[in-house]
Parts: sequence; structure tokens; C-alpha cells
Amino acid sequence: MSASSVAERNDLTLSKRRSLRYKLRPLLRDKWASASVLFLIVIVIMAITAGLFVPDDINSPDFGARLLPPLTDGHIAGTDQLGRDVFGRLWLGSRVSLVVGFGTVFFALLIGVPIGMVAGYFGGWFDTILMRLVDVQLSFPFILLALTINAIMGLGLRNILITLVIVGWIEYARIARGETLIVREREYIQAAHVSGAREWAVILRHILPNVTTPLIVIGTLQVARFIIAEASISFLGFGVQPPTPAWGSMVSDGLKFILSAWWLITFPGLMLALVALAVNITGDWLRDTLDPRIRNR
Amino acid sequence: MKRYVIGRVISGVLVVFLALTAVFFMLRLSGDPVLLFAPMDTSRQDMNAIRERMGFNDPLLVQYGRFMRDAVQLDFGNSSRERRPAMEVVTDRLPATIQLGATSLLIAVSIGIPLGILSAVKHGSGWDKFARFISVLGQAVPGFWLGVIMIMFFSVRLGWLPTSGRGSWEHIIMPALTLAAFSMARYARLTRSTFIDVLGQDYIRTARAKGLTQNIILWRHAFKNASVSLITMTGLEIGNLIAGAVVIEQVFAWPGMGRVMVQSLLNRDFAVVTAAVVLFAAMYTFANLMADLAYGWVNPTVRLN
Repeated sequence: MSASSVAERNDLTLSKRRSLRYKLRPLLRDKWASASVLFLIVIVIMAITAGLFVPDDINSPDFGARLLPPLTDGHIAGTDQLGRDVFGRLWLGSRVSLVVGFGTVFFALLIGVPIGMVAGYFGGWFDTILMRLVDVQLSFPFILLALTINAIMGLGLRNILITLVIVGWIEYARIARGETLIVREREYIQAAHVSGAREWAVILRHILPNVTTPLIVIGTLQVARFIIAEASISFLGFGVQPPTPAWGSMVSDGLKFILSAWWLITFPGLMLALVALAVNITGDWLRDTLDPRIRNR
Repeated sequence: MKRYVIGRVISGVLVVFLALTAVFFMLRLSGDPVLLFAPMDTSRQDMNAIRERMGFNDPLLVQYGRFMRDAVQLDFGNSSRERRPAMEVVTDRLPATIQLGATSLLIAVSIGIPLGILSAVKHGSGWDKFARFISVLGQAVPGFWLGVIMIMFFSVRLGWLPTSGRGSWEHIIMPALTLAAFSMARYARLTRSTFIDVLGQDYIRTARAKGLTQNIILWRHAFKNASVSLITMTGLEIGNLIAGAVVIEQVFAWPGMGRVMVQSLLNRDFAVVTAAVVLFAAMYTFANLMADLAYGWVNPTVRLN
């Protein structure tokens, strides 16, 4: 084989590797995962564009059009007891779920990971306090703690986000700590020390990249958990308050009309289930792809 | 072994103590407790009198000490709504919650585990796909919505089952199934992965080579080893069922601890909330301890220390 053809072939592989299709290959191979990711992308775009498509008066009542069944008068998902378009409210409600789901994981990671890594790396009293906190938190059902804190802190979207972050960060701190404990003992960390790296440089440059994979996987799966948690809390009458549409509170609003208007209850819950399903499938796929070590757990 | 149990109990007590501390300070810092239950038209002087009488004017640490002294005796004050000891209000509801939780656990175990085994044994078959689909679905569907949909279908549409309340055996069917759905999915998933691991081990091949029947291999050889992780999970699952009950009880108006807790939060009856939180935490810690002990019992290679 001549030198030029080798170069040519390398060139080909390189351009092929750079192509989007090549990068997405592991995803496209799994049709459930690709469908889920696609669905989530659509939902995210819907949430972002809600301001453009959902009319501003979506929350103002129209008593002439009360409790219309789906597919009447241009209301795809029908109208509620105040004559408001259910489809538009579902569309707007996607914002609450996504902001809470992704926002909670983001802030919980932001707080939990540094604390967990410092605790795992240095140990000592800081670590002891963190582990006690973990013990306390593990002795409470998640939703119970969230409900209590939310009831005390007050209602609304911002407070439910803060509540879930307060309850959620410890989980990431625990995982980051555990992973750091394992990585800390590796030879390349000792090598970094020997070559004169500072402590914080070791943590940032050598430990952080090696603890991210399990955090990404668990973080993704947790998005679904927080979305359901927010919906449950809003369903119970805490959390997001009317007239802001949230999928959880839409279900509880629909309860009064359980005898006559099935669509009020069915659609918001279906959206919740589909989003949670898509997030879970994506998370499982990420786990299988990124980290075979924790597979099937 | 004895030392381990004592150590765990002490750490459990410590956890409940820390939790109580957290609840106390959160409640006190969240606002004036008198404003919560005094009528709107109470005069300023009367308010002060109430504060003085109930000790809210004392330094926070004194209040904390008093709160802890009473809490040790399981006295959390009176329910502001029912005018009787808060702990009594909660413990009255304990049997209903235990009944619901135990029924759900039974359903989850007796459907989830066989489904998982079936899935592992017929790895890759249609059964496997079905079981995996069920377990993914069960973990995604929000419990409260599943409950409402069941009410809509079985009670409203078909009129087969009562919508809410507690009484005959028919009342428990829907709440228990709803609560069990999530746990069942998790059992199926864990059982499947554990059995796939176990069935690939050498001693299973040996057992097959000896000519043992599939049933004996499955139940006597594989199940014993798989049960270690199933038992660990059961401790966690009891906790999940308790947590799920908080929401599900509300859907079906099931008169348990979860419902009384949610109602008290809505009514800002914080004595009852505190009592419920403590009881929940104690049950949760106890379940985890039992799971740990059972774990050591089925797997003697685990040294408890």
C-alpha cells in the first residue's frame, strides 16, 4: 500500500468520523433511545416556543366554551371548566416540568458535586458531617421531605425548585464522594502529586473528569424523578399555583369533572408519563453506552 | 452481631434526633406560630398573651430544649385542629397505612419477581420484551395519575369498585395496585438483571450438568443467591411504599398517615406534621435495619460491623 493511499484513507475516516451521522451511530442503532431523544427535543422546542404560539389570554376564562370535548371548535384537547384551551395549557405547562426537571438536576449537581469531591478527597470532619447529612436524608422518604420543606417555604415555581434542590443535592454529593474515594487511590493521581500538582489542580483536572460519567447517567435518570415529584406536589395542592398551568395541578383540577370530562385528567398525566418514559429510556441508554460498569443496577 | 445492632439503633436514634432538630428550626424560622392558629381578629394584646403562655417569647434555645424534652416522651403538643395529642392523631392512622403498604408490597413481590425470573430465563424472547416494557412503563407513570385513571375506569365507567375510603376488601384493591405499580416495576427489573448474572455462573452450569431439573436449579440454586440483592431492595422498597402512600392515600382518600400528614400541611397543623415526620423516619430507619440484618442472615459472608 502506497503512502498516499494510506493518507487518503485516514483522511476519509477522519471526515467520516467528523460527520454527525457517525457520531450519532450508537444512538441511531437503538430505535427506542433515538425516538426518546427525538421526543425530548420536540418537547424542549415546544417549551421554548410556547411564548410564540400559545396565545397570551390562554388563562383567561371563556364561559361560552366550557368543557368542550377534544376536537371540537378547533380545541384539539378540548377545553376545561373555565373554557380554556387544554392543548395550549398543556403546551405552556411543559415549561414548568422541564424547568423543574432539568433545573433541579443542574443546581443539585452544581452544589453537590464540589462538596462531595472535597469531602471524598480530603476526608476529615467535613466528610463526617456530609455523611451524617446523608444518613439523615436517607432516613426520610424523598417526597415527604420535599412536601414539608415546600409547605414551610411557600408555594410557587421558584420555591418548588429550591425545595427539590435542597432535597436533591445530597444524592450527588454522595455519589461524587464515593467516586472520588475510588479515583483518589489511582496511580495517576499519585503521579500528579509527585510531579508537583496543587491539590485543587488534582481535583479539577484529574479527579473531576473521572467522576463525571456516573453523575451524568444518574443525573439524567433523576430528571424524570424530579418532574414526577413536582407533579405530585402540585397535584396535592402545593407547588405551582393557579392560574399557571402545570401538568400535576391540571390533573387535580380535572378531578372535579371526573364524571363528565375525561380529557382534563387524561392528557396532562399522559404528557408526564411520556416525558418520564423518554427521559428514563435515554438515561438507560446513556448508562449502557457510557458506563458498562454500572449496567443493570 | 449484637454490637452491630446496638450501633445501628444508636445511629438511627441520632438520625431521628437530627431530623427533629431540623424540623424544629425550620418551623420556628418559617414564621410566627401564633399567627397560624389564632383567629384573624385576635387583638395584639391577646396575641402576646398567647405567645407568653405557649412560651414563644422565650429564647430559641430554651424553646428547643423544651421541644426536645417533650419529643423524647413522644409528646409533640396538641393538634391545633383536633385538640388532642398530635402523636395520637398520627398513630390512629398507622394501621391503615401499614395495611395498604403491606398489601402493596405483597402485590409488587408476587408479580414483579416472577416476571423478572421469566424475563431472565427466556432472555431475549417476547416475554422478556414484554416484561421489560412493563418495568420501564411502571417506573415512568406517575402514581397519582394511574390512581385517577383507575378511578375513572373501574369506578366511574364500569362501577365495579368504590372510588375512595377504607372499609371492605374492595376498597383496598385500587390503592394497593396503584401503589404497587412502581415497586413491581423495580422488582421485575432487579430480578431480571440479578438472575441473568446468577444463571451465567459456573455452579449453575454444574447443576445443569448433574441433570437437575430447571425448577430445582431456579428455586434452590439461583434464587438463594439472587435473594441477597432482592432483600436489600425490599428495605428500600418499604421506604418507597411509605413515600408513595403520602400521595396515593390522598387520591383514594385512604385514611392513613400520609393523608393526615398532607391534610395537616394544608391546615398548617405543624404539631401533627412533626409527629408524622418522626414516625415516618422511625419506620423507614427500622425497615432499613431489618433489611441489613436479613442481608447478613442470607449471606453469611457479609461481616456486619
